[in-house]
Amino acid sequence: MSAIDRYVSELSARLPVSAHRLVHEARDHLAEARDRFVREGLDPDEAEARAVTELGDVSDLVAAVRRDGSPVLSPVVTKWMPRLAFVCVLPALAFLMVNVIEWLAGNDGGTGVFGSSLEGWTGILNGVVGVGPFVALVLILAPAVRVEAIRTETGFDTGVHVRLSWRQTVLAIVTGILALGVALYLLSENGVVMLPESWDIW
Amino acid sequence: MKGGEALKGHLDTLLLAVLARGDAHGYALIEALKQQSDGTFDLPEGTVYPALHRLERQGFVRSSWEKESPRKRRVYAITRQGRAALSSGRAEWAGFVRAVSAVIDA
Repeated sequence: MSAIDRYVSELSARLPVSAHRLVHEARDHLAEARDRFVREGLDPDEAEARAVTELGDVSDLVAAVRRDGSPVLSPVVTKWMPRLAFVCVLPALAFLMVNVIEWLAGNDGGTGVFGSSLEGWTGILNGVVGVGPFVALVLILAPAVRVEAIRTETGFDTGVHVRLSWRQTVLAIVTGILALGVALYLLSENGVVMLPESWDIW
Repeated sequence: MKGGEALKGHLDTLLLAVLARGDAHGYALIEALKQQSDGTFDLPEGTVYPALHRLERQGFVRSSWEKESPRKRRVYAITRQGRAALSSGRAEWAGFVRAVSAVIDA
């Protein structure tokens, strides 16, 4: 096994799965460095050894990744989450829009896209409307969950943190309000929850 | 002060400054840092990749696999947010230099 293969193999074994893109980048970096040193006159084995030395110890690289924090979910998965969140929230947005249109048209008591019943097929569809925003909220928040190394008096400990960008924060708040609003409406229309009469704006 | 020690805390700004001049993959970025600093910033090369990944998570750079390369190569580009962060980093550095100069030259 060459020096580069050994290095990449050890890096692959020690990095968290979510940071595995770094393995490909390290391999490309080492190959590039090796080719350059060979052009400068080193023999291939010496060139590989020097490339590995200049990249730095595997332990230091893994420690740097851990210090910066690894997302709990792989970027391959989280890449799709914002789009899925949008799909989940679409029925609730349609529901809200229909109610607003009916209210503006002067119709008393918005009935929602599918009526407000929670029974039968209508109930299933309204369930999707009601649950969708909660699922979207999870999809918005999940990519922000990170496992990080926290410095303690004796070394490092592992902690779970949630770090939201301002965009994620705004989306989470808006989706949360939508989720609560739609859920309360559907539950109150079906007598599961009793809301004060003053809340009945329809 | 050795180059590596002086670099701590400013690596992100330096990487953004290099990327502001053109897209690059990790190896090219490190070589550009060395050349543009006349060899002063000769840092452990591996430290650049976690920094680039952090900048990407923060939205300051974006990356993609380069299709034309024979090897699987990740190319980084600065974003609009990254340019704003770079401006902020430059201002912070200018302030730092002014403060140090004021003390040293006093």
